[in-house]
Amino acid sequence: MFAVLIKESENATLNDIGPYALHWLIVTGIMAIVVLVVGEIYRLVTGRGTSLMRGLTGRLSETSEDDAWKLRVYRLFVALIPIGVAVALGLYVWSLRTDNPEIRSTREDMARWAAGVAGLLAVLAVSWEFLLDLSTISPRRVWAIARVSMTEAIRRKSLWGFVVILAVFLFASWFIQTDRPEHQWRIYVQLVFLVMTMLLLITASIIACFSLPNDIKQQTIHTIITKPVRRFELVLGRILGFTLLMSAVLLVMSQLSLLYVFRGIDESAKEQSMRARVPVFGQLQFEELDSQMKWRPTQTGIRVGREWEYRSYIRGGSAQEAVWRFSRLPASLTRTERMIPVEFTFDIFRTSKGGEDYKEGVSCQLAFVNPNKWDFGRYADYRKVIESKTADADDPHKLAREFGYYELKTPLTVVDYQTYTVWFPSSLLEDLGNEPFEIRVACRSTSQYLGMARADLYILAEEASFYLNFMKGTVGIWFVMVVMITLGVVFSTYLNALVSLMLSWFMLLCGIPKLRGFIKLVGSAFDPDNNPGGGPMESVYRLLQNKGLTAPLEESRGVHVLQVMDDAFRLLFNGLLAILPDLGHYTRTDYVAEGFNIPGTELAMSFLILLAYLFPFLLAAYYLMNAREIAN
Amino acid sequence: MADNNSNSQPKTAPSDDIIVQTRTLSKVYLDFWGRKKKQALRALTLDIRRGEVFGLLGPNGSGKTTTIKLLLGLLFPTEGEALVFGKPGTDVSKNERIGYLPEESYLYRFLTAEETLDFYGRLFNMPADLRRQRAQELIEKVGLAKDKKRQLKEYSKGMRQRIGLAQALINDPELIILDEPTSGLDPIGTRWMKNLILELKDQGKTVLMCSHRLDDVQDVCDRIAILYEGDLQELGEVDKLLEIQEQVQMRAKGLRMTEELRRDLADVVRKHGGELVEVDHPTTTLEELFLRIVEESKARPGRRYLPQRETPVAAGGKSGG
Repeated sequence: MFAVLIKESENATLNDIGPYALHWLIVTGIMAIVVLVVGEIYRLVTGRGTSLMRGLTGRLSETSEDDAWKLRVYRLFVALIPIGVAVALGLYVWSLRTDNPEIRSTREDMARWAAGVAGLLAVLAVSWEFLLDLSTISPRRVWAIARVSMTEAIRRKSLWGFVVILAVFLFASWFIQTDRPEHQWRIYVQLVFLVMTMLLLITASIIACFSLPNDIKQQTIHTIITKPVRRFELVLGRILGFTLLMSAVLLVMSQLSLLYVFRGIDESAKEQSMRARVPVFGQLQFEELDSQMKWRPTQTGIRVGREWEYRSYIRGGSAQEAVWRFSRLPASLTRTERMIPVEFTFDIFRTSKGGEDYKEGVSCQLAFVNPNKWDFGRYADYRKVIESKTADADDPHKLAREFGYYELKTPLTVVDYQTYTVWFPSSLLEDLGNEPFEIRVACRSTSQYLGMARADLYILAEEASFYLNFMKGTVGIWFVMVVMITLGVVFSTYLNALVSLMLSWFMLLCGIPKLRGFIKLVGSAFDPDNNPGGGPMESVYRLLQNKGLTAPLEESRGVHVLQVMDDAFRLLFNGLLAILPDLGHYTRTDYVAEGFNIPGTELAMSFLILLAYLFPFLLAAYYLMNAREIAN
Repeated sequence: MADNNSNSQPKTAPSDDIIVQTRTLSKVYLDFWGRKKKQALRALTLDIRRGEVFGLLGPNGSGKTTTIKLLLGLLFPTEGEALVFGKPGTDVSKNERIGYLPEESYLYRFLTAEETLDFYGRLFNMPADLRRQRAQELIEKVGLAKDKKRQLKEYSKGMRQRIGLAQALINDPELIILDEPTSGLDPIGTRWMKNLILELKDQGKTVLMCSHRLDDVQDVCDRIAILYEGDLQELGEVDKLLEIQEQVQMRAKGLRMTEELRRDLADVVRKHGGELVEVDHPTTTLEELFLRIVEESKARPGRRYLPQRETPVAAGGKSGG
C-alpha cells in the first residue's frame, strides 16, 4: 500500500498558541501603527479627518461626560505605544552588544515580548471604538440579516451551480485510471475534495462579493440602515448567513462524495485505504559510527543529487544509520503487553540497476532501542540469545526487558515507496526514564541508498474513525470557505462587486502554500543555498554585470544602495505575506487521502489562526462601512 | 465620518416639541479627487414640530431627497447639523422612532409581504408575537391580505408602495418620513395614501414628506418648505401661503347661472368698492371625477356612469372647485 504523508513543516498544535499570539501581536501591531501614522499624516496634509487624540474617527471626543473615560483610555493606549516601541528597540540594540549567544537570545526574547506589548497597545488603540461598539451588536438583528441572506441565495437560485458535482459523479470514473488498486482511494479522495473546494469557493465568493454592492445598487440597504441597525451588523449578518448556507451545502456534498468514493473503489482498496491511522512521529537524525565505535550525529544524511531535498539518504553497507527518537509517547501504548506496529515507506536510490537485484529491492534492518537499558557492547550477547533458538529467542517481551533492544529477526527487503509494517514489543517502552525511545534504520545492500524523511516512519498508536476523519478533512475546506466569504464581504463594503471578487481570488491564490513559498523566497535575504542572487535589484545588477548567482559582490556604495532597495522590497513582500491567508494552515486533504487521522488539536489551532487572521479584516470592514455614505 | 454612537450629544438641544431640526445644513457632493461636483443643499435651517405634516417641495434636483437622506444618516453633512429627536442623523438609536418610505419601495423582491414585515420587525428587536400581530394588522391596513403569501417581485408598483408603507409603520413610529409617497401611484392609490397620511396626523404622528406633486402637498401638508437648487425659497403654512388677500370667493347652492344674477352680483360687489372678476359654475377636479366613476362602477357593475348635475355657482376667484 502507498501511504506517504509529506510533512515539510510541522503543523501548529495548541502548544504553539503562545509564540503564535506573540507573532500575531507584533505583525498586527505594526499594521495598526501604520494605520495610526498614515491617518495622522493624511490629516496634517489635507486638513480633513480628525486628530488621533480624539479617537480614530473623532467620535470619542463627542461622547458625553459620563463616557469621557473612553477617550481617556484611548489616549492612554496611544501614549503608551511609543514607549513600548522604544523599550523593544532598546532591548534589541542591547542584545546586539553581547557575543554570548545565550544572553543574546534572552535579550532578544525580552525585546520580542516588549514589541508584543507595544503591538497589543496599538491593536487596542485601533480597535477601541470597535470594541466599545461590540456591546451594542444585537444577535437578533444579525440573525435576521443572516436569514434573509440565506433566503436570497436560495430563491435567486445561486446554488444551482452545485449541480455540476453530479457531472463529476457521473463521468469522472471514465477518466480515472489507476495502475494499482491502492492508488484508487487517493485519486478519488483528491478528486472529490478538489471538486467540492472549487464549487464551494466559486459560489461562496460570488454571493459574498455581490451581496452588499447589490444592496447598495438596488438601494435595499436604505430601508435596512434606517432601522436601528448598526452597519457592522449588516456585515456580520451577511458573513454568518452565507457561512451557514455554504456549510449546509458542504455537508450534503461531503456525504454524496463519500458515497461516490465508496461505490467507486474496489473492495481490496477499501480494506487497505479507508483508514484513519493515528501516527506518532519522532525526530529524525542521521548518525555515523566513528573510529572509536561511537555513534556521532551528522547534519543530514547523504545528498544523492535529487532536486527535491525533502529526503536524506543513508548508504547501504556502511556504518550509517537513520535514527528516529520519540520523546513523547502516548500512555495507551504501554497499557497492555502487545506488539506495537510501526509503518514506514522509504525511497530507494540505486547506483547499480538491472538483474535480480532490482527486482528484489533493498535490504534494510530496523532496531528498536530503549537507551536507558541498552548498551551497544551487549550486541554480541543479544545475537547469541537469538541464534540459540531457545524459547527466550522467540519471546520478544523477554528479550526487550533483558536487553532494552529488539531488532527484526531477518533484515527486510523493501521496494520503492511501498509502505511496510513491522512490530516491536511494548515492553521495550518500560523504564525509559527521560530518554527518548529510538528506532534505528540501517541499509544492508551495498551500493544502494535508502532515502527518508521525518514523516516516513511512525509508530501506529491506534486507528481512528475513518468517517470522522473524512469529515475533519472537509472542515479544512470549511476554513478556506470562511476566509473567502469574509474577505468577499469585507472587500465589498468599499469596493464594487467585481473588484472585490478579483481581489479575494487573488488573495486566495497567493495563499496557496507553493505561491506563498515563492513570495516568501522573494522576500527573504540573500542565501547561497536557498535564495541565490539576492533580491530583485541585486539580481538585475548581477544579470547586467554578468555575475554568477552566488558570486560575492564588490563592496561599493552602489551595491549597498541596491541592497537597501532590496531590503525595502523585502519589507513589502513580508507585509504582503502577513496580509495573505496561509492556506497550508487550513487544508488537510492529504491526511484523508493517505489515510492518516487529523488530530483534533490541529483543527482547533487552525480555527484560532482563522479567527486571528480575520480579525483585522473585520475591523477594517467596521470602519469602512461606517465611513461610507450609503446613498452617494 | 459616520457616527453611530448613541451617546453623541447635539451641539444645540431642541425642545421636546421640535422633532426635526436642521441648522445651516449644507451638502456638497465631491468627485473622486475631492473636488466640488455639486452643491446639493445650502445652509438649510428649519424646524418641524410634533404632530404636523410637513412638505418639502421643489423640482427635481432641488435638494429635497438630499435633506431626507441627511436626516436619516444615509449621507453625511458637509456643514451644519441635521437633528432628529435631538440626535444627529448618523445616530442609530433615533431610528427606533422613525419610519421611512423611500421613493421607490426598495425592498427584497424575493420575500413575501409577510416575510418582509417579519424581517423589518426583527430589525427592531421586536418579540415574535408582537411582530406577527403588527404584521397582520399592517397587511390588513394596506389591503394586501389576499396577496401576503406572494413574493414582492409579483407585485404591481402600487402594491409595492403599500407594503413599503407597511414596513415604515412596523415600529409604530413617531416620525414618518415619506420620499415621493405618491409617485407612480394611480389616482385611487394616491387618494388612499393621502388619506393615510391624514389618518397618521390624526393619531398625533409627525409626517415629513417630499414631493414634486403640488396637489398632493396642498391636500395633506400643514406647512411646506420650497427648495430650489439647494436653497430654501419659502417656508410657512400652506393655507397662509396660498391665500389671495385681495380677492373674495363666494359659493352658493340652488342657483342657475343667468345674466340677471351676474348683473345683481356685480352691483353688490361694486357697492362695496370691488370689481366682479368672474361668476361661473365651479368644476370638480379630474381626480374627484375619476374616483366617483370608479366608486359608481364598483357599486353597479356593467352600468355606464351617468353624472348627476349639481349646480352650485361660484363667484370671485378662479379657484371655484
